[in-house]
Amino acid sequence: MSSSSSSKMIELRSSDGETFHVEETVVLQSETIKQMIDDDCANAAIPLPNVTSMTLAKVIEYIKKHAEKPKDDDDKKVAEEDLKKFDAEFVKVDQESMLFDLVRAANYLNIKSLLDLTCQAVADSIKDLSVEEVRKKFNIQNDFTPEEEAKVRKENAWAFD
Amino acid sequence: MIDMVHDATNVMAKGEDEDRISNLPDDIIHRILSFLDIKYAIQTSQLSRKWKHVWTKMPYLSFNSRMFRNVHLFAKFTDHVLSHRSDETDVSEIELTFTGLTTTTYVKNLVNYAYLHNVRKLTMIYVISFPKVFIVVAPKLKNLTASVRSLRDYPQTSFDCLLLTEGFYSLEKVNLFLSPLGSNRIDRIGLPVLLNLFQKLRSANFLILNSEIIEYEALKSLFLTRIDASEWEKIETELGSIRHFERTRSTNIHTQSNAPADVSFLP
Repeated sequence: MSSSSSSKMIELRSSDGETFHVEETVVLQSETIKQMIDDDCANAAIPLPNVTSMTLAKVIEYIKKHAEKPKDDDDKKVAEEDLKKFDAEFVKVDQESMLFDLVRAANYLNIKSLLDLTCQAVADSIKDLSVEEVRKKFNIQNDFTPEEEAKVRKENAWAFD
Repeated sequence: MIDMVHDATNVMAKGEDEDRISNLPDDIIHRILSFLDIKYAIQTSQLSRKWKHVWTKMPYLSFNSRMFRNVHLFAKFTDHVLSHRSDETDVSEIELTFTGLTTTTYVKNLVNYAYLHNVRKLTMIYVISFPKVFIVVAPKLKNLTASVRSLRDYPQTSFDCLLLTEGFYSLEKVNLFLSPLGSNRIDRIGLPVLLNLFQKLRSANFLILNSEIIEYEALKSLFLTRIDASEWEKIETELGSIRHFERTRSTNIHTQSNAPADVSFLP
């Protein structure tokens, strides 16, 4: 674990004031933070007013895992499999709100692979649901009048053949 | 006219269970929808007033003929999508997976639509056949991928010519792949590629290639993978400005189709 001790540490501060120390090489996966470092704005702790400590801890877990470098080609294959498993487990969060917090955080921090992973997870969770089931799942208020709803259904009937 | 029933549910909803998905910015919602089949994306128009038009502004369009019983229904569907889509919104990426000929009207319509809406990435996956000539004109296109899958049942198919001409002012990357899944040997495949009038093309990635290729300034990287045993020399003599050149011979084409596409290039 000490092999990377020479790497510079970056301090991140969550919206609720908790600080996290992460290696610069790891944190560069965030385009947003990379930009701040490039602009020399990372000498003090970087404030992340849109990310709670709970979410940030998850994000750091993700980027740390994704920063691991395989030693050789054999190792690479194993590492890829391992990473796939990690990703699959990573999005199995207890609370759905956490998944949405991660989507927002990935978007704000501009970590494309995490944004794709979490958006895919949201998409997978609604794939086989009916319109009514999706509404129920996400508390989407049906603000159509019955007439409007019938009209929308009729207008888009071509898509449901 | 106020609908009492609907208003009542609205009031109740202001409680602890907020609507997390509708409150996301549109570009994130579009990204989520891009992972669903476009049919499901369109279905979200029934969720609520807000959702009615969300799908129509999606910058990603992905069509797959496998979801349809026949080509006719698929063609009708794609035409519908294009006519119901918001016309002011550009398309950044289009992916089309289909069986049949690229000369079919709906494919032409789609490519034309892509052109008119400034598409930057176009991916075409042909499941069976490939026409002799296919011409696209798309000034904003940066990244073109054409991939042919499964020739198993059509060992005699020959890919005589893929012709890209004129108007690719922004094209930076071309990927052409041929994946004869499950077939051990292909007797005859020729893919002469003529690329003319490119301004910015920096990278080309051809799985199979039969000379007659590329003579122009901007190309910096070229990846070639052959599955037959022809000579390389003929090609090399024409690679004046290319700084990054990789060639491989492979029988395992499936893995090749992913590998070189994302390599970054010289300045």
